Amino acid sequence: MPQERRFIMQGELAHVPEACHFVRESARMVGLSDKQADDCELATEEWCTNIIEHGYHKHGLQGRIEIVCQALPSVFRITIYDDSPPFDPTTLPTPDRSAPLQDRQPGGLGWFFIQELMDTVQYEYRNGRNTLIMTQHDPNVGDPAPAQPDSAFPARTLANGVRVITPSGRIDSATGRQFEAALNAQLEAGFNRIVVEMQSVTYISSTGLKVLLSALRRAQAQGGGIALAALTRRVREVFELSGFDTIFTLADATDAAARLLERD
Amino acid sequence: MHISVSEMRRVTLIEVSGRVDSLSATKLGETLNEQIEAGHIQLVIDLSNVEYISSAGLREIVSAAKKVRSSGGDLRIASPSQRVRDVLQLAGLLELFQIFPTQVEAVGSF
Repeated sequence: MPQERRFIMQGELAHVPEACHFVRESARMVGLSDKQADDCELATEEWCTNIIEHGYHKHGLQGRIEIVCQALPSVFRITIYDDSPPFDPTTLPTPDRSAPLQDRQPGGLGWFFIQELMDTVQYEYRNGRNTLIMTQHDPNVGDPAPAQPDSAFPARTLANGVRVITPSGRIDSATGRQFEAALNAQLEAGFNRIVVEMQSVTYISSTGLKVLLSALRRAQAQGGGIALAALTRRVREVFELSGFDTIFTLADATDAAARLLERD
Repeated sequence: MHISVSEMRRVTLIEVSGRVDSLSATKLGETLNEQIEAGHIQLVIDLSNVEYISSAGLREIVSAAKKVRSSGGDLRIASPSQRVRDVLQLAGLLELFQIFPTQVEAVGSF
């Protein structure tokens, strides 16, 4: 995702699902797990509901809510701004979660959830706005050279039945899963002889190598193989340094790579 | 969110699906209250198709459970997904409800 995504909505409960969707989508785009995205989504609903019910409606007000999602190094940050009267949630009592059912009080749970679900939560009244800053930590977030958001991996079939797939940009922890899914889709479609055209791949990380290796094992288990064609010098160096050049069939051009798979 | 209510011999079964959030929770609360006011105090709420629940949804379930228990009834939960179970756990509610893996077992428990 871009470094920063912004969403502005009218502070009404009917719009909260859109806010949840926006945050969830942003969290997934930066590579957070499903569970982390779930937690971000729930924390967002809880805070937006607080703003609408206790900030705006209780005072007979209407107003907006602004949400900013940012991919920082190792951190996914959600900042939620609103213009309702100052409301410091850190003064709220903690609900007694060991109380028997009959003694449970309605309310208070939302703020408790937010604190439990997120790694850090910080409230400020800044420039006349309530500002809640929440973060989730993930080592995959905020790669200094952000991965290409493009999830398309063009594929074609050669006359000899070999399938060619052409990734581009960086293959790293952010894009590795998409690449893995694209390779798996080919294998599941019955293509077990695959040439990966690498001329447009600018960088490959250990995650990318692992994805290729696991696809190779699957292809071999089906009696096929994977060959790599047209690696840039930089990418070839990664293969040589890691010893992966001895595991994979490498060729200068796609046709040559495909012929090597035929002989296999 | 969608709710369907089935009256059985001893139990009223409330099947909920979709998102139970701050917007839809009110409707869930109203449905539960209608049943309780009609004298139905043995309730099973089937959450197998609930993909998401927030504290607003939990509040309605807790409030209904308090009412039926004080009249000698109960509200029992059938087949919550892992995600819903996690939220119940977070709220410290998992131990306060009888939770059954299937609807049949929940209904049969009364």
